Amino acid sequence: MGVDADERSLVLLAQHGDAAAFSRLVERHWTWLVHFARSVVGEAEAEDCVQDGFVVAWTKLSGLRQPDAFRAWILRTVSRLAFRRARWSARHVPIDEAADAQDPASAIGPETVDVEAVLSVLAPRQRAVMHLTVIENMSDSDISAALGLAAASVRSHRRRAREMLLRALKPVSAPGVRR
Amino acid sequence: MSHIDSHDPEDRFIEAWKQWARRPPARSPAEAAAAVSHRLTVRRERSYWWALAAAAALTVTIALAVHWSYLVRRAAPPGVTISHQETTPMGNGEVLIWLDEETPLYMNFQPPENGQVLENKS
Repeated sequence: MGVDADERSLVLLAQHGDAAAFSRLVERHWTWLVHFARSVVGEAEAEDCVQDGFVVAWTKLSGLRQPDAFRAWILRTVSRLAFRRARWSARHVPIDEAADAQDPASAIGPETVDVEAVLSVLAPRQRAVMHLTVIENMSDSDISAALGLAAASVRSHRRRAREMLLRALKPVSAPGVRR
Repeated sequence: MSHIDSHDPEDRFIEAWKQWARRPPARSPAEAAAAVSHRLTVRRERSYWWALAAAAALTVTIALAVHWSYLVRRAAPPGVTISHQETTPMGNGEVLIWLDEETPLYMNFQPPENGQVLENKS
């Protein structure tokens, strides 16, 4: 995760209360963080979650000792909120919605895939690790630093997530289809 | 829902996931920055009013405490001087001391009778 000098100076300015510099940082990191939050909390809550993350980040920015580590730091801030939201949502799903929840196996049709339904079989941390691996192509050490997990834990989350995904996707595998 | 061509469910899922996750957010980066900035402004104003309310509450509390202590001091009975009431000489060898308004201490000092001298017999 390389950091350009411009980003470093924006972080330093924002740390000294420059709201315009912080807005530039929001613009820079908004899109990829929404992509990440989508995978963890789902489409409906992703943007609110990232916005909350930036509000929290503004209040805690002075505590960031290494301005170069802003990308990993903001990812960790957003991921914490996302994990909390995902846990809360899992506990407070209305009964009618829970009854309507789609079977992950039926989420893959002949031409379409309901990604959110398949991802629902994974725990929030597993979704985060898989997203950063598959979508962001991040290394284990970067994922480990960003999510505050040990590298071994990252590998374990990924292995378990892959097993669960394969199991969830298995029933739709037709005989003779390449795996 | 994402449309995928591959036949392998895992490949199809990963491809669909990439397409789904990488769609542009509903809010553009500039709109998001403006929204965050607005929320921070609201938050700052709210915390300003909270600070003002807390300062006002503290000032009122201190003022009430000062006023109350003044009232207590003013309403206190002048009993503190009672214990210092004068020692009253009653007669030869007699003394009456008022420990407080209701507690007199009477003492009578007399020389030994018939010129007796107290001896230590031990």
